[in-house]
Amino acid sequence: MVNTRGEPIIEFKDLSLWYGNFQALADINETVNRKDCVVICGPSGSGKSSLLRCVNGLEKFQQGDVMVRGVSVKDCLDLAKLRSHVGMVFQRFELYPHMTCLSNVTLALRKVLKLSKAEAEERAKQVLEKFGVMEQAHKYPAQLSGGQQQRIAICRALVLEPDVMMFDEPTSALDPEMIDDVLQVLLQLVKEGMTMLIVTHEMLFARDVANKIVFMEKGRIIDRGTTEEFFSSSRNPRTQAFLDRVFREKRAEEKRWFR
Amino acid sequence: MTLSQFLSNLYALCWALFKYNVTLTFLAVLFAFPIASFLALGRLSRYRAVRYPITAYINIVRSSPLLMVMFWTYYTFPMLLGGASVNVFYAALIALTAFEAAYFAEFIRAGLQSIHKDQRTAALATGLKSWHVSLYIIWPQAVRRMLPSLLTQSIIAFQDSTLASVIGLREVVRMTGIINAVQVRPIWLYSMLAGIYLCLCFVISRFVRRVERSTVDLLSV
Repeated sequence: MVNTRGEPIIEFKDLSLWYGNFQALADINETVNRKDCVVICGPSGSGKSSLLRCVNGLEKFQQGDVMVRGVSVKDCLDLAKLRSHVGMVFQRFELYPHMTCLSNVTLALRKVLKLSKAEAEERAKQVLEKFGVMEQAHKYPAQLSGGQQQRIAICRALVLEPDVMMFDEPTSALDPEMIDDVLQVLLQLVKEGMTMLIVTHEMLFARDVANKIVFMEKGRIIDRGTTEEFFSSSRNPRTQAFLDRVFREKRAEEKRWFR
Repeated sequence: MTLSQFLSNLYALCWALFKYNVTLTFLAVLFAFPIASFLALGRLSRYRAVRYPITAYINIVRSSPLLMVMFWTYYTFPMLLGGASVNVFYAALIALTAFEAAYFAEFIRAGLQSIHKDQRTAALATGLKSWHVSLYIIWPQAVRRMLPSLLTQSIIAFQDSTLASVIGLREVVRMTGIINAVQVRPIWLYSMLAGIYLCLCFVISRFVRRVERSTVDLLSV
């Protein structure tokens, strides 16, 4: 893998998406460079998930384009190949319940990368070991806790050695005790230099880990900047209102908890 | 009824049961499943030209009594298509297959639609091709969900196979009537019929329950 800092991995160019008459995304322009950790935040329904799905062609957008490693998603002839270079992790994990965790992770290796069963299992086990879920390899997803399932889901995406990992609210469906486990995994990935695009509500985590924040509302990017700019010196009133509310809720939660 | 009469009657009834009822049901279910899968996929097609005729077929057949479908297959369709005489067994088989396929199609459709949409999304996101996803992710889960309904419907099909007696098939119920016409021992004969049927249904139900139990654990999601 070429270690060039700053080369654009994902570029959104005037991207617009409609669901029937409803405009979910409007004129999105943004770049995610190699080794960036971009956090997308904003209220529900602002189009954050749709944005991620446009990157790997899971949503068919009507206007504009997305370039992934220089390849246009709109004109892409082999979406399956493109998708194998873009890892995606979902809010509800979406593990395959009828297969063991190991099989969940090796399926794409065997069918997409055409590895043999032995090679695939070898690679899978290395990744599972790294994130501390090796013991769960032969269990079924239903037997695992949410945090373990999400870690398996992350392994499933990582094992294909993608150029970028996208996370769609990875901790939103988890109990508070397990959120930290998963955030630790994300932190480790960032430290190892993985390019990441994360949709999340965990603003404290974002402050620690991201180098760029994008704030979306009603399908548009209404504020963006480096982490420092966004958190301390943003002039946008909506950003300030959003951050105010987020931190007020955090303080209220702490008050309740420590009473 | 003497013992030898009883035994030869029992043999005759069992022979009719297995030669006609069991074979009919088995073949009908065997053919109905792939046909129904095709119907279910057609029912879910985004092309109206495919969806409308298939939905019409399913709804018409599911609103019709099997008896009527058997009559149509044996009498009406051959007459409309030139008047050739049709083998009773094949007519009954076609009728039962076409009938069960419509019911199976709805169970299959329900099974397929019950799989969360994001299962497909997540699988596609790892670079799997669409047919990979259908084959390895969707269908395995869907089949486990539709299995109880399909098996129950198969048992119903087995019980309905006796309707073929009205178009002349010498299946077990008709056979009982034929023997009764000669020996005139209705209580004995119809009790034997009930006994045989009950035994077989009991065995089948036990088997079905075992199959269901083994698939339930994996479906805790």
